[in-house]
Amino acid sequence: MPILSVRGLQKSFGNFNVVRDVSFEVERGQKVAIIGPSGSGKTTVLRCINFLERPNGGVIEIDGERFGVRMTGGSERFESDASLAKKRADIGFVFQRFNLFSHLTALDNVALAPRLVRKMPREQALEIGRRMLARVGLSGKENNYPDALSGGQQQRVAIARVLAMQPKLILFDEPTSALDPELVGEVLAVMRDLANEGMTMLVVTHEIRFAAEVADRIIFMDGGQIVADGPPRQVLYDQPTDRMKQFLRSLSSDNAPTAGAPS
Amino acid sequence: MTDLLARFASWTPELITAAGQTLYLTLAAFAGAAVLAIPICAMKMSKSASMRGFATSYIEVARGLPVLVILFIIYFGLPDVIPSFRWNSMSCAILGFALQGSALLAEIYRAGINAVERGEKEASVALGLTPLQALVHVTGPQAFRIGLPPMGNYLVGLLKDTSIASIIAAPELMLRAKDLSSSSFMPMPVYIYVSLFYLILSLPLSQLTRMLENKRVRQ
Ligand SMILES: Nc1ncnc2c1ncn2[C@@H]1O[C@H](COP(=O)(O)OP(=O)(O)OP(=O)(O)O)[C@@H](O)[C@H]1O
Ligand SMILES: [Mg+2]
Repeated sequence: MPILSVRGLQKSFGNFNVVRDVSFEVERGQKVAIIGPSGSGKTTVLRCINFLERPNGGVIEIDGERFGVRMTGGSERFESDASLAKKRADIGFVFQRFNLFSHLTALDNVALAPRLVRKMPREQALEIGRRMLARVGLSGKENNYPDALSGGQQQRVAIARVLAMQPKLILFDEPTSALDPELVGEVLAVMRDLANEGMTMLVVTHEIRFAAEVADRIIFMDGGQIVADGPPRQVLYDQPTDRMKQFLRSLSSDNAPTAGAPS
Repeated sequence: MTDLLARFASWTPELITAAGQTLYLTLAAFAGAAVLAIPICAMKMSKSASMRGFATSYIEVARGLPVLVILFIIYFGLPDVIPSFRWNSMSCAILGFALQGSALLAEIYRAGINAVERGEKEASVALGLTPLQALVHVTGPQAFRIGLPPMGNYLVGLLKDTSIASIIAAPELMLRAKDLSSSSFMPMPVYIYVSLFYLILSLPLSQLTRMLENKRVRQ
């Protein structure tokens, strides 16, 4: 059974259809990259998956369980906030702009949700927090507030914060595109480690080289639809559509894939 | 000159007692306003249009009236309508200031909550916090920090405004000053001396506000 199943997802803002009939699945342990031009609806798809945005249509299933809608007495009802919250806790979300809690230290950022959502005793939550910060290479930064961390460090704290919840799946929304170029590598390195450890990941990214190397599959979105979904080699090199070629050309040269096939 | 100093000395004990009453009135009204502002702010931010409408009306009325009118309605109006209502002038003053202050503080709370980064609220939601947990642990503490300076300014303003309660004979500083002025026939020295009392009360408060403003609010 796929860990994530998206079927016929639709989302519009006003009468602007941002996501039209998007369907795909992610198997346990798979790494899937979503690429596509700006405004193609990538962020909106991710936000609909954990109901940060309420879809207008379609089905989201996590581990076979319907998300956001409850069947009561044969009719569909929106799920309550509390019940949604419980399911969201199993899905990590890493934001483009980190969104760390600015009034909490790095350690408290990581330990907050285990304490409140998993009802862990404080000491145990802090212990997990320290372990997760170590895992993203931030031992020694436990007591730093977010404004005393670089962008790359903040994003790694954000990843640690998600890991502390032991998610079934992590959604990344362009995790490196708000970073100075010299800080991109440290975040991608952490994500590579996660991928190697078998984490299930769905990553919206403009880092094509990273996607080609790490992802099992690449989904190419355009105009609110999936126009290609397959192994990186196939999507990027073997049968690229004209739109895809145009998109790849539009990316900066140091980021675009090299002429040869990916490793 | 020595005669004047002797007068100051003789007024002092009475004015110190009255200053205590001014401080009591200020802090009690502030506490009442701070608590009452919570449900008003919650209603103002509620999803229900009628709740929002009620809160908006309350806030506009409470802010739009001179506090003296509110005090007169409570002190003279209420006993007239409800004969069993027998609150003393001090309690009426506390209630009146608290009612008006709750409107101001509700707006300060709301501005603070709205000023917290939307991304941080979303992060708390994405981590699985319930809306209440997000309010208590993420939005609230930051809103409090953002709201501290305006709350401090309100407190200092309130301290000065309590002098208005002398008009309904609440036994605070200004009332005692008026008594002393008329019994001693020395208005200028009395009011100058009383000004000193107000300054001694208000300066540390504004100082404290500034200190809190600079300090990080931690969990
Ligand atoms: N809350 C919203 N209200 C109105 N329009 C929105 C909203 N969120 C997104 N949109 C619009 O939906 C479209 C798709 O947005 P989305 O953020 O999903 O694209 P994206 O593929 O992530 O783009 P980018 O690569 O620039 O991040 C855009 O045109 C955007 O302006
Ligand atoms: Mg986006």
